[in-house]
Amino acid sequence: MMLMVSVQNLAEAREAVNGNADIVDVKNLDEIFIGANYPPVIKEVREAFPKERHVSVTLGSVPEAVGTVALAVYGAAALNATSVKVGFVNMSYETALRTLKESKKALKGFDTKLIAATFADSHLYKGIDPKLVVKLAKESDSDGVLIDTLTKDGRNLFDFMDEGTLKGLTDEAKDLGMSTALSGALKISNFDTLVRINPDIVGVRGAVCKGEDRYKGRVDAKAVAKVKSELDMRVEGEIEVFNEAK
Amino acid sequence: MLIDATKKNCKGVITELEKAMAELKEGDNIETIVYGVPNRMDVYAWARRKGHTIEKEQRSGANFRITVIKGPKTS
Repeated sequence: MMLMVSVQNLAEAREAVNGNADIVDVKNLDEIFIGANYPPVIKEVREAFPKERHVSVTLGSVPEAVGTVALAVYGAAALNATSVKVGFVNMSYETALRTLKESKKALKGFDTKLIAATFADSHLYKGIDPKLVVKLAKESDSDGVLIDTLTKDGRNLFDFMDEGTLKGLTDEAKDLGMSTALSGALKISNFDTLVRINPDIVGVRGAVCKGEDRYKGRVDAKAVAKVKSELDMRVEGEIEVFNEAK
Repeated sequence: MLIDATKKNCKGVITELEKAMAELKEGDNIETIVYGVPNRMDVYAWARRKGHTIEKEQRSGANFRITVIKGPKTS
Protein backbone atom coordinates (compact mmCIF):
# COMPACT_ATOMS: atom_id res chain seq x y z
CA MET A 1 0.00 0.00 0.00
CA MET A 2 1.49 3.28 -1.10
CA LEU A 3 1.24 6.55 0.80
CA MET A 4 0.33 9.57 -1.31
CA VAL A 5 0.80 13.03 0.17
CA SER A 6 -0.88 16.08 -1.35
CA VAL A 7 1.49 19.00 -1.73
CA GLN A 8 1.18 22.56 -2.97
CA ASN A 9 4.79 23.38 -3.78
CA LEU A 10 8.33 22.04 -3.93
CA ALA A 11 9.09 22.70 -0.26
CA GLU A 12 6.15 20.53 0.76
CA ALA A 13 7.10 17.89 -1.80
CA ARG A 14 10.57 17.65 -0.26
CA GLU A 15 9.05 17.24 3.20
CA ALA A 16 6.80 14.47 1.88
CA VAL A 17 9.69 12.62 0.23
CA ASN A 18 11.90 13.07 3.30
CA GLY A 19 9.10 11.50 5.34
CA ASN A 20 9.16 8.52 2.94
CA ALA A 21 5.93 9.18 1.05
CA ASP A 22 5.64 6.96 -2.02
CA ILE A 23 3.78 9.51 -4.13
CA VAL A 24 3.65 13.30 -4.09
CA ASP A 25 0.40 14.61 -5.48
CA VAL A 26 0.54 18.20 -6.67
CA LYS A 27 -2.68 20.16 -6.24
CA ASN A 28 -3.94 23.65 -5.55
CA LEU A 29 -6.09 24.17 -2.48
CA ASP A 30 -6.81 27.80 -3.32
CA GLU A 31 -9.09 26.94 -6.21
CA ILE A 32 -12.74 26.09 -5.63
CA PHE A 33 -13.11 22.63 -4.08
CA ILE A 34 -9.74 21.28 -5.30
CA GLY A 35 -7.95 22.55 -8.36
CA ALA A 36 -4.88 22.09 -10.48
CA ASN A 37 -1.62 23.76 -9.61
CA TYR A 38 0.29 25.97 -12.04
CA PRO A 39 2.48 24.32 -14.68
CA PRO A 40 5.76 25.85 -13.38
CA VAL A 41 5.06 24.45 -9.90
CA ILE A 42 4.33 20.97 -11.28
CA LYS A 43 7.42 21.16 -13.49
CA GLU A 44 9.60 22.19 -10.55
CA VAL A 45 8.34 19.33 -8.38
CA ARG A 46 8.66 16.76 -11.17
CA GLU A 47 12.20 17.81 -12.00
CA ALA A 48 13.30 17.73 -8.37
CA PHE A 49 12.91 13.96 -8.11
CA PRO A 50 13.97 10.97 -10.21
CA LYS A 51 11.45 9.45 -12.60
CA GLU A 52 10.96 6.46 -10.28
CA ARG A 53 9.41 8.78 -7.69
CA HIS A 54 5.73 9.05 -8.45
CA VAL A 55 4.58 12.61 -8.97
CA SER A 56 0.87 12.80 -9.67
CA VAL A 57 -1.18 15.78 -10.74
CA THR A 58 -4.67 16.55 -9.53
CA LEU A 59 -6.95 18.48 -11.82
CA GLY A 60 -9.59 18.37 -9.10
CA SER A 61 -13.24 18.79 -9.91
CA VAL A 62 -13.11 19.66 -13.57
CA PRO A 63 -15.44 22.01 -15.48
CA GLU A 64 -17.97 20.83 -18.06
CA ALA A 65 -15.60 21.56 -20.93
CA VAL A 66 -14.37 18.35 -22.52
CA GLY A 67 -11.68 19.83 -24.77
CA THR A 68 -10.31 22.10 -22.06
CA VAL A 69 -9.95 19.19 -19.66
CA ALA A 70 -8.34 16.98 -22.32
CA LEU A 71 -5.80 19.73 -22.96
CA ALA A 72 -5.08 20.02 -19.22
CA VAL A 73 -4.56 16.25 -19.11
CA TYR A 74 -2.19 16.54 -22.05
CA GLY A 75 -0.36 19.28 -20.14
CA ALA A 76 0.10 17.01 -17.12
CA ALA A 77 1.51 14.31 -19.39
CA ALA A 78 3.84 16.77 -21.11
CA LEU A 79 5.13 17.66 -17.64
CA ASN A 80 5.90 13.94 -17.09
CA ALA A 81 3.35 13.39 -14.36
CA THR A 82 3.11 9.74 -13.31
CA SER A 83 -0.66 10.06 -13.27
CA VAL A 84 -3.34 12.68 -13.67
CA LYS A 85 -6.56 12.68 -11.69
CA VAL A 86 -9.76 13.95 -13.23
CA GLY A 87 -12.66 14.42 -10.80
CA PHE A 88 -16.33 15.05 -11.38
CA VAL A 89 -18.88 16.83 -9.27
CA ASN A 90 -21.83 18.56 -10.86
CA MET A 91 -21.82 16.84 -14.22
CA SER A 92 -23.86 14.19 -16.01
CA TYR A 93 -22.44 10.68 -16.25
CA GLU A 94 -22.38 10.95 -20.06
CA THR A 95 -20.32 14.16 -20.02
CA ALA A 96 -17.92 12.75 -17.44
CA LEU A 97 -17.46 9.66 -19.59
CA ARG A 98 -16.83 11.74 -22.70
CA THR A 99 -14.32 13.86 -20.77
CA LEU A 100 -12.40 10.76 -19.70
CA LYS A 101 -12.48 9.24 -23.18
CA GLU A 102 -11.04 12.41 -24.70
CA SER A 103 -8.50 12.62 -21.87
CA LYS A 104 -7.40 9.07 -22.61
CA LYS A 105 -6.91 9.99 -26.26
CA ALA A 106 -4.85 12.99 -25.15
CA LEU A 107 -2.49 10.65 -23.28
CA LYS A 108 -1.62 8.60 -26.35
CA GLY A 109 2.14 8.29 -26.60
CA PHE A 110 2.72 9.23 -22.96
CA ASP A 111 3.35 7.00 -19.92
CA THR A 112 1.07 9.10 -17.73
CA LYS A 113 -1.85 7.14 -16.26
CA LEU A 114 -5.40 8.43 -16.23
CA ILE A 115 -7.28 8.26 -12.95
CA ALA A 116 -11.05 8.73 -12.76
CA ALA A 117 -12.14 10.37 -9.53
CA THR A 118 -15.47 10.74 -7.81
CA PHE A 119 -16.35 12.15 -4.42
CA ALA A 120 -17.95 10.23 -1.58
CA ASP A 121 -19.92 13.33 -0.54
CA SER A 122 -20.98 14.12 -4.10
CA HIS A 123 -24.65 14.12 -3.15
CA LEU A 124 -24.09 17.35 -1.19
CA TYR A 125 -23.03 19.03 -4.43
CA LYS A 126 -25.55 17.44 -6.81
CA GLY A 127 -22.72 15.35 -8.18
CA ILE A 128 -22.18 11.96 -9.74
CA ASP A 129 -22.87 8.91 -7.61
CA PRO A 130 -19.39 7.96 -6.34
CA LYS A 131 -20.22 4.28 -6.71
CA LEU A 132 -20.18 4.76 -10.49
CA VAL A 133 -16.42 5.39 -10.47
CA VAL A 134 -15.44 1.87 -11.52
CA LYS A 135 -18.02 1.82 -14.34
CA LEU A 136 -16.80 5.24 -15.45
CA ALA A 137 -13.17 4.11 -15.43
CA LYS A 138 -13.92 0.84 -17.20
CA GLU A 139 -15.97 2.43 -19.98
CA SER A 140 -13.35 5.14 -20.56
CA ASP A 141 -10.38 2.75 -20.37
CA SER A 142 -8.94 4.75 -17.47
CA ASP A 143 -6.02 3.21 -15.59
CA GLY A 144 -7.29 3.69 -12.08
CA VAL A 145 -9.90 5.07 -9.73
CA LEU A 146 -9.88 7.47 -6.80
CA ILE A 147 -12.63 8.18 -4.30
CA ASP A 148 -12.06 11.41 -2.37
CA THR A 149 -14.20 13.96 -0.52
CA LEU A 150 -14.92 17.62 -1.11
CA THR A 151 -16.22 18.45 2.36
CA LYS A 152 -13.37 19.63 4.53
CA ASP A 153 -15.28 20.38 7.73
CA GLY A 154 -13.92 17.58 9.89
CA ARG A 155 -15.96 14.82 8.31
CA ASN A 156 -14.08 12.34 6.20
CA LEU A 157 -14.47 9.54 3.66
CA PHE A 158 -16.02 7.14 6.18
CA ASP A 159 -18.72 9.62 7.14
CA PHE A 160 -20.07 9.24 3.62
CA MET A 161 -19.26 5.69 2.51
CA ASP A 162 -18.93 2.55 4.59
CA GLU A 163 -16.17 -0.03 4.65
CA GLY A 164 -18.18 -2.68 2.83
CA THR A 165 -19.08 -0.39 -0.07
CA LEU A 166 -15.52 0.86 -0.45
CA LYS A 167 -14.13 -2.67 -0.22
CA GLY A 168 -16.53 -3.83 -2.93
CA LEU A 169 -15.55 -1.00 -5.28
CA THR A 170 -11.85 -1.51 -4.60
CA ASP A 171 -12.02 -5.25 -5.29
CA GLU A 172 -14.07 -4.69 -8.44
CA ALA A 173 -11.52 -2.20 -9.78
CA LYS A 174 -8.60 -4.49 -8.92
CA ASP A 175 -10.25 -7.39 -10.73
CA LEU A 176 -10.38 -5.14 -13.80
CA GLY A 177 -6.66 -4.39 -13.51
CA MET A 178 -7.04 -0.83 -12.29
CA SER A 179 -5.11 0.93 -9.56
CA THR A 180 -7.22 2.00 -6.60
CA ALA A 181 -6.87 5.00 -4.33
CA LEU A 182 -8.83 6.31 -1.35
CA SER A 183 -8.53 9.76 0.12
CA GLY A 184 -10.63 12.32 1.98
CA ALA A 185 -9.44 13.80 5.28
CA LEU A 186 -8.07 10.43 6.38
CA LYS A 187 -6.38 10.06 9.76
CA ILE A 188 -4.35 7.40 11.52
CA SER A 189 -7.52 6.40 13.37
CA ASN A 190 -8.93 5.30 9.99
CA PHE A 191 -5.97 3.09 9.10
CA ASP A 192 -7.35 -0.16 10.52
CA THR A 193 -10.35 0.16 8.21
CA LEU A 194 -8.24 1.34 5.27
CA VAL A 195 -5.87 -1.59 5.54
CA ARG A 196 -8.82 -4.00 5.58
CA ILE A 197 -10.10 -2.37 2.38
CA ASN A 198 -6.56 -2.47 0.95
CA PRO A 199 -6.53 0.16 -1.79
CA ASP A 200 -3.25 0.40 -3.69
CA ILE A 201 -2.88 4.02 -2.57
CA VAL A 202 -3.92 5.95 0.54
CA GLY A 203 -3.97 9.73 0.14
CA VAL A 204 -3.49 12.20 2.97
CA ARG A 205 -2.79 15.85 3.59
CA GLY A 206 -4.28 17.20 6.83
CA ALA A 207 -2.88 14.24 8.80
CA VAL A 208 0.67 15.14 7.72
CA CYS A 209 0.42 18.91 8.08
CA LYS A 210 1.64 20.85 11.10
CA GLY A 211 -1.29 21.20 13.46
CA GLU A 212 -3.21 18.79 11.20
CA ASP A 213 -4.46 21.87 9.35
CA ARG A 214 -4.61 21.11 5.63
CA TYR A 215 -4.95 24.79 4.69
CA LYS A 216 -2.83 26.80 7.13
CA GLY A 217 -0.42 24.03 8.06
CA ARG A 218 2.42 22.82 5.88
CA VAL A 219 3.42 19.24 5.13
CA ASP A 220 5.89 18.08 7.74
CA ALA A 221 8.41 15.27 7.16
CA LYS A 222 8.11 13.97 10.74
CA ALA A 223 4.34 13.75 10.45
CA VAL A 224 4.65 11.99 7.10
CA ALA A 225 7.11 9.48 8.59
CA LYS A 226 4.76 8.84 11.52
CA VAL A 227 1.79 8.25 9.20
CA LYS A 228 3.87 6.02 6.92
CA SER A 229 5.06 3.99 9.87
CA GLU A 230 1.52 3.55 11.23
CA LEU A 231 0.38 2.36 7.81
CA ASP A 232 3.30 -0.05 7.41
CA MET A 233 2.79 -1.55 10.89
CA ARG A 234 -0.74 -2.51 9.91
CA VAL A 235 0.27 -3.79 6.48
CA GLU A 236 3.06 -5.91 7.95
CA GLY A 237 0.84 -7.32 10.68
CA GLU A 238 2.58 -5.70 13.66
CA ILE A 239 -0.79 -4.13 14.40
CA GLU A 240 -3.60 -6.63 13.80
CA VAL A 241 -6.55 -5.20 11.89
CA PHE A 242 -8.25 -8.36 10.67
CA ASN A 243 -10.57 -10.28 12.97
CA GLU A 244 -10.47 -13.55 11.07
CA ALA A 245 -7.42 -15.69 10.37
CA LYS A 246 -8.16 -16.07 6.66
CA MET B 1 4.62 -20.56 -12.15
CA LEU B 2 5.74 -18.02 -9.54
CA ILE B 3 4.56 -14.44 -9.33
CA ASP B 4 6.71 -12.31 -7.07
CA ALA B 5 4.42 -9.43 -6.14
CA THR B 6 6.49 -8.15 -3.26
CA LYS B 7 7.66 -5.07 -5.10
CA LYS B 8 5.41 -2.12 -4.58
CA ASN B 9 3.25 -1.21 -7.49
CA CYS B 10 0.10 0.78 -8.05
CA LYS B 11 -1.58 -2.24 -9.52
CA GLY B 12 -1.67 -5.03 -7.01
CA VAL B 13 -1.16 -8.73 -7.10
CA ILE B 14 -4.72 -9.51 -8.18
CA THR B 15 -4.11 -8.09 -11.65
CA GLU B 16 -1.09 -10.36 -12.07
CA LEU B 17 -2.93 -13.38 -10.72
CA GLU B 18 -5.90 -12.78 -13.00
CA LYS B 19 -3.64 -12.66 -16.03
CA ALA B 20 -1.61 -15.69 -15.04
CA MET B 21 -4.63 -17.79 -14.07
CA ALA B 22 -6.22 -17.22 -17.47
CA GLU B 23 -3.32 -19.14 -19.02
CA LEU B 24 -3.73 -22.18 -16.74
CA LYS B 25 -5.89 -25.28 -16.92
CA GLU B 26 -8.18 -26.35 -14.08
CA GLY B 27 -6.15 -28.17 -11.45
CA ASP B 28 -2.91 -26.35 -12.31
CA ASN B 29 -1.37 -24.26 -9.58
CA ILE B 30 0.35 -20.98 -9.26
CA GLU B 31 2.58 -19.62 -6.51
CA THR B 32 2.68 -16.01 -5.51
CA ILE B 33 4.69 -14.08 -2.95
CA VAL B 34 2.86 -11.06 -1.61
CA TYR B 35 3.96 -8.35 0.78
CA GLY B 36 1.75 -7.60 3.75
CA VAL B 37 -1.31 -8.95 5.48
CA PRO B 38 -3.91 -7.05 3.40
CA ASN B 39 -2.49 -8.40 0.14
CA ARG B 40 -2.57 -11.90 1.61
CA MET B 41 -6.22 -11.34 2.55
CA ASP B 42 -6.89 -10.07 -0.97
CA VAL B 43 -5.50 -13.29 -2.46
CA TYR B 44 -7.75 -15.40 -0.22
CA ALA B 45 -10.81 -13.27 -1.01
CA TRP B 46 -10.02 -13.30 -4.74
CA ALA B 47 -9.63 -17.09 -4.71
CA ARG B 48 -12.99 -17.43 -2.95
CA ARG B 49 -14.70 -15.10 -5.45
CA LYS B 50 -13.23 -16.90 -8.45
CA GLY B 51 -13.72 -20.42 -7.14
CA HIS B 52 -10.02 -21.26 -6.80
CA THR B 53 -8.41 -23.22 -3.96
CA ILE B 54 -5.65 -22.11 -1.61
CA GLU B 55 -3.39 -25.12 -1.25
CA LYS B 56 -0.72 -23.86 1.13
CA GLU B 57 0.92 -20.82 2.60
CA GLN B 58 4.30 -20.01 4.08
CA ARG B 59 5.12 -16.80 5.95
CA SER B 60 8.51 -15.12 6.05
CA GLY B 61 8.36 -11.81 7.90
CA ALA B 62 5.82 -9.65 6.11
CA ASN B 63 5.97 -11.80 2.95
CA PHE B 64 3.51 -14.61 2.28
CA ARG B 65 4.17 -17.38 -0.25
CA ILE B 66 0.77 -18.73 -1.29
CA THR B 67 -0.03 -21.60 -3.64
CA VAL B 68 -3.36 -21.33 -5.46
CA ILE B 69 -4.94 -24.18 -7.46
CA LYS B 70 -7.15 -23.16 -10.36
CA GLY B 71 -10.70 -24.29 -9.67
CA PRO B 72 -12.33 -26.04 -6.72
CA LYS B 73 -10.70 -28.59 -4.44
CA THR B 74 -11.04 -32.02 -6.05
CA SER B 75 -10.13 -34.46 -3.27
